Amino acid sequence: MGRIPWRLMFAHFRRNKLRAALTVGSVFMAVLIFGFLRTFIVGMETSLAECSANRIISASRLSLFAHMPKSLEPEITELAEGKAEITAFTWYGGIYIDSDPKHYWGRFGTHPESFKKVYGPDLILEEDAWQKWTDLRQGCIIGSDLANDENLKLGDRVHLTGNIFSGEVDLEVVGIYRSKVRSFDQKTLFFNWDYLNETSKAAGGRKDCVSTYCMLLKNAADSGPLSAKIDAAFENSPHRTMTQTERAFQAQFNSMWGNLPLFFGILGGVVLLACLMVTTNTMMLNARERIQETGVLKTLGFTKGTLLVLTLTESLLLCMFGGLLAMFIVQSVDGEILMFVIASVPPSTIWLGLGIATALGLVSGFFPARLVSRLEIVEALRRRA
Amino acid sequence: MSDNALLRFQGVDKIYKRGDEELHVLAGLDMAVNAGEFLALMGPSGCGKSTILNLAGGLDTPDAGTVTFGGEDIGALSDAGRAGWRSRNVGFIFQAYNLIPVLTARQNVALPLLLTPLGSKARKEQAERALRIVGLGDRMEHYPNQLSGGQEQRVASARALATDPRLLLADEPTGDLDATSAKDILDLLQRLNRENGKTIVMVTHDPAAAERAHRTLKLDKGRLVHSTGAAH
Repeated sequence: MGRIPWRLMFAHFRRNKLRAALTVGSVFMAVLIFGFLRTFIVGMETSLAECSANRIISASRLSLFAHMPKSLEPEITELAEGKAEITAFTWYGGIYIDSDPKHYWGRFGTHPESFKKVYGPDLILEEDAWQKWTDLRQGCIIGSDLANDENLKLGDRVHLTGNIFSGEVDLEVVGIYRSKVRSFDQKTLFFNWDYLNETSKAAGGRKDCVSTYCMLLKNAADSGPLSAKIDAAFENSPHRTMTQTERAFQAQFNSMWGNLPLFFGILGGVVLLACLMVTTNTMMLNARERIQETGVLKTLGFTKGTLLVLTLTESLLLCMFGGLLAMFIVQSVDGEILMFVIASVPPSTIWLGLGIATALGLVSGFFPARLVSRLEIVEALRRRA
Repeated sequence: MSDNALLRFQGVDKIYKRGDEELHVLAGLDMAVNAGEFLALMGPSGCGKSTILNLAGGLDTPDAGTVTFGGEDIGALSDAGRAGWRSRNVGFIFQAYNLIPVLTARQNVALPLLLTPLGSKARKEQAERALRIVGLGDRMEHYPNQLSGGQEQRVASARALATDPRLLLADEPTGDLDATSAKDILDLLQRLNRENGKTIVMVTHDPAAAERAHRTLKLDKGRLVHSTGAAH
């Protein structure tokens, strides 16, 4: 085959900087979209897979967003017959600083002691912090990602203005937790439910309500019978419950987004197809503009094989560069929260993204490479671009 | 026919098809070009001059007959075989120069040297030597669009020379040039023939250019109709 005139390929990149950049950009965007979609889906699946089999959650049967009275807690505790630890969560919502989405993260009212019993095994938090949170009515604990994002440290004040609940809460950061599992994110704030309740009640707002009751079972085998027992107990009450495993609860939460894997699959496929058409068109344009040049190269003695490799490599390089850039960005979001899902970027996503970029390069380079290799010298020299 | 022939056409037919129509561009052509000869080909448009160059350079193959170079049948070689043969034995000079616009003069001249066993440094030196031969030692890093037509043609000549081929094929090399630049190119070709012993076949419409050659063959409708001068 002889030496390949690589310098020529790079000279074309330099001469057509904008075209090369746009080609790289289109592949970058397409692979980036693919990467983020897959990251989101994998994140959902990972958080489901890591949900504890020993935990069950009771929520209102009406809606995930409907509140239940706090007064159900003693009844549920009685139904559990000592087979589970129970805690309650109340989604506070509220506004931190302003309405900018970057300040929108999870805020829950709960009971520090029962929270520790139910979720403590999944968290890394110093004993002093647990104790301080229990003792200090206005204390709160926050995840390490939240601390980084909002530049919060121990002792800092967090002021929340209620929008679901009335009044305002003024909290002190007494602990910064890290999670051992992906199903529990590190970008949430937990504070004392009693403090939440009394500030809202004092301001004439909602009171004595919770969003969910969460139970850590001593034996996972009890999850089915106890769930059925709790739901049956409230079947004819104004506050019908739906009790399910943490995994089923998470899946229900995810299903609010619809059939995302299918939707994202179609979306990603369409974007990649559009990108393929753009890159193929660009590479064909390059090849057609260089027909006479191809004739000259063949006249000088460069073989069909050499020119085929040169054309394919040009396409591959552009696409793989775009793919690499995209995967670099995708990799950087690993562990971040994307729309309530903890992003998960396993190596398979990176390899798949690079594989797609390579395939885009090969397919979009195939037609121009074929054109170049089949071109008759005499015909090529006669034609102008 | 001469025994000193470097290039020989024997009973060569070339037919082009345009739809259902067959165009006999060359019909039973016999001719020979001796080693070290400077031959001019003249004739009206469509008479087959450029086709002869294409066949001589292995860019195309005859439909009948043989084209031999140093006794070797070029038409019998594979595509890749012909490409390799071209890179070793033939230099081309085109009317439209056909330089690669994204490469500098030196890079254009060094391009065919990639097909030789020379290393990077030797290729660079060889390209610079070829550019100095054609009087462009001070224009090595210029791109084609920074050169005049005459300078571009000299770069193309340097590229043709770079691999030190035995045969130079020039297709109307002065066709796009002004009188001064045309004279410079013809002087160069004559010098390459005389001083470097290059065998040159040049297609031209210009009788003054043809006068520089040892011999001029005139063609009409694919046949030789007249010859002036003596074989070298």
